Amino acid sequence: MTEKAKVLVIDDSPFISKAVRKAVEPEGFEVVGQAFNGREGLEMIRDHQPEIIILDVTMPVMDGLETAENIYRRNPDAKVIMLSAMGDEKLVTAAKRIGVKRFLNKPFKAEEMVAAIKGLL
Amino acid sequence: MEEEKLFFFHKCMDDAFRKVVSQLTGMSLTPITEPSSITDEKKFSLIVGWVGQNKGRVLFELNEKLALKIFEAMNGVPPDDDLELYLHLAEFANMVSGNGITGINDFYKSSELRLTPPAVFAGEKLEITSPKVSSAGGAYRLEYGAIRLEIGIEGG
Repeated sequence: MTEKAKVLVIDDSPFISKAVRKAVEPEGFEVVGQAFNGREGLEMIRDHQPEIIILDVTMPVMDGLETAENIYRRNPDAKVIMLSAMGDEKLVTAAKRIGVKRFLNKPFKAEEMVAAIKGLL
Repeated sequence: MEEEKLFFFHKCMDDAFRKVVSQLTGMSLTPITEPSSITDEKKFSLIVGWVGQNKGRVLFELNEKLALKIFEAMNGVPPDDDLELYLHLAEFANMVSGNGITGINDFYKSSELRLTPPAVFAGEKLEITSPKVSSAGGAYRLEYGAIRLEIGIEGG
């Protein structure tokens, strides 16, 4: 399924949510909401059942790595794209060890985001 | 903190700054030595800290006109209110700092630096000093104003 797949953004920046919408909605994906921290994100995942989760790393309340651990504990088949201004080897390795399959750096290009989503679906 | 390391930290942040400004705004940068226009009018100071093997912070200073133009370049429209502008400036600072810290972490493998949430200050007579840090900095002229970038490392 590559059309109308539901995308949830977990990021405390309103700019990133707008940028994701601008990138993916013309491609037929639906952004079902934005959570501003990991804990809120876990609740929205339960409520919206998104096919794709865009996940920031540095956030208040619950950061991206802890959130990813929770996501994969509940659903080992979850499709998470980690999106961060930081992308050093240790962080990327830690994310992959948890189960994250795609890692994008901020600022991202629209075509990179769309390709990452399509690659996971 | 030896001078060579401070220089490398500054270079990483400088490279990240050029990359993020170019990708997000498309504005060209010209290095300058005297950014007097930043201190002559209302300005914004953006601060992002880091923790890890050492502590430090990145400070950006820019005038209001340039801040608004950066927002417009990121969004295509002006901000609805001050809060929206502040949130976007914070994310701009976060993206520059994150990219810069990535370069530092990949070179100094044991540094394990992590960013702290950005802070945004606005005012006409704003002076920010950090007496207990070693710092290195530079300034640029962009299309709509100047911006100053300073790296400070604790315990220098």
